[in-house]
Amino acid sequence: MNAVVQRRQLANVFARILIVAATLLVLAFLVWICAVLLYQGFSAFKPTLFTEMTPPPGESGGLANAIAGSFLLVAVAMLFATPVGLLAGTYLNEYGKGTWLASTVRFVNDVLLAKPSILAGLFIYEILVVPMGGFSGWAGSAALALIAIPVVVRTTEDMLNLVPNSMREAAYALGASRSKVIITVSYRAARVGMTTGILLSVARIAGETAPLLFTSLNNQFWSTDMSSSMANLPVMIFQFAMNPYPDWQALAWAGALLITLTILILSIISRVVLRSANAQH
Amino acid sequence: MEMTMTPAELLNIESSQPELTNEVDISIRDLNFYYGNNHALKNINLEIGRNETTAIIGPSGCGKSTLLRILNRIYTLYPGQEAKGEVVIDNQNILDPKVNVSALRARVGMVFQSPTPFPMSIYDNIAYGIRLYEKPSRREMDARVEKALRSAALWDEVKDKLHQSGQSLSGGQQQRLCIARTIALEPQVLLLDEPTSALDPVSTSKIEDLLDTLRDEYTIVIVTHNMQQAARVSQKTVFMYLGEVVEVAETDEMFLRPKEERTKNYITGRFG
Repeated sequence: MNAVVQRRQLANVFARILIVAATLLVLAFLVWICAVLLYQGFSAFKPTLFTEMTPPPGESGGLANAIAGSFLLVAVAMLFATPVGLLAGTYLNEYGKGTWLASTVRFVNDVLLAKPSILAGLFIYEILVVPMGGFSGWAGSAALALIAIPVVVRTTEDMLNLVPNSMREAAYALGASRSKVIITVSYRAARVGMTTGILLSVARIAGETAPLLFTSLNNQFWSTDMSSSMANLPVMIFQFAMNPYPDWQALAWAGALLITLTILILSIISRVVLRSANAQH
Repeated sequence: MEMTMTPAELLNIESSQPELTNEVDISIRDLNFYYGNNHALKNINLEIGRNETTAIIGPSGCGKSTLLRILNRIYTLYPGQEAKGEVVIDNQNILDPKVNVSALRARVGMVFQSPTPFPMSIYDNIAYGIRLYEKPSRREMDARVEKALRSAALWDEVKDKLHQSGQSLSGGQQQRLCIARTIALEPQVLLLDEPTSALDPVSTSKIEDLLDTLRDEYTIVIVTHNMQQAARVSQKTVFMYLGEVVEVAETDEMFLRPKEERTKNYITGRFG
């Protein structure tokens, strides 16, 4: 075998070892985290999690108020974020393409996408919590919406961008107006990807802690009043995990498992939806 | 806009005009076209006859697709593209900004290079265009969908799966679906921009056969890279080069006895 081929094969083996080692390293930590979470989470998992309130120290209890609070906060946040994100994404791809305004909006959106989430919390604290005189569910949802919007904008634009322009031209060539083309052709062609983007943004905000610390804070009791502070899983985990009481630590593990499973299920749903829709075509 | 009026009625066009041979359907006069500062078409003068097939040939970048895209004003979708001059269809200069482009495009249909079925059923693909202008009853819509699919020689292949996705069809079937979708509006002119360049030979010959039968009812303008195709399907051929019309002639005449040196060089394969 000649020397050049030999050196190439050696380089190949060397590169392969590095790649496999890096992959194993990442996987090892991932498996470790999941294993600890599953072990600790499931040992604290019991049906009363869903029926009882978070307890004072030393007593047993559940996570009912935190689960309901998280659900409300995320639902209200998405109620704001979905239309704003979809419309802004539509503007970027269908109307503003190549304009100064669109490139500015896209750039700012990318910055928002990468900002530390605690900034969203501090910002809403300044403009909502301080003027309103206290922590509230509304403020929490606003902070979460601020994190979800850039995700929805970006995926909407990306998915619309994948729709071939020739398909739009074909609809225009039949005499359709721009709004008609967007609604009946572009959205239709991109709907699966756009839905996935919304689901992924839900997964993103469901586990956010930092923005809620300054806005919704927490609540030991059952409350569905969005204008007062509201219980939620991430902040509950943050507070309970830092405490010395084993009962509280166990509840924090159970909450962490619950969030992880919710996000897992959302991701699986979006993948299944994507796959079955692709199979249709 | 009245939803029940046909596009022809919207423009006060009499649909029952007598069929005359050698009648001119589209007159292009002193047409110039610009992509920004790029002068893409130069002083085009051309007459396109009613109920005949006109092929536009020429090397890549000669402006043949550009010319086609002026005839239904689809170029106006993009900023910076500008046409000057006149394109007259039925005594109306369609470049006039006052012309309703929606009604124009219902009269002047277009089929593109790659098949573009919409992400919906075969039935809805055909009904899509009709629904833009009319709200026919269910039964009438069924009849019109069937008629369009029959005219495009696709009915027998899809009649049992009308509610399957249009994107599940083969490439050649998709292109005939697009032709059916266009003729469902009963246009007067059919523009085809290299309609077979993405298709296999069998699908291509099916589409060429189809064009032959459609000529009785439509004025057809086809842009093609393929000179054999131009010779097979058209009665008149236009040779374009560098944004100008070099020669216009009966197709047989053009391929047997081209008058211009550049035409001769192109059709004998010396450039392009």
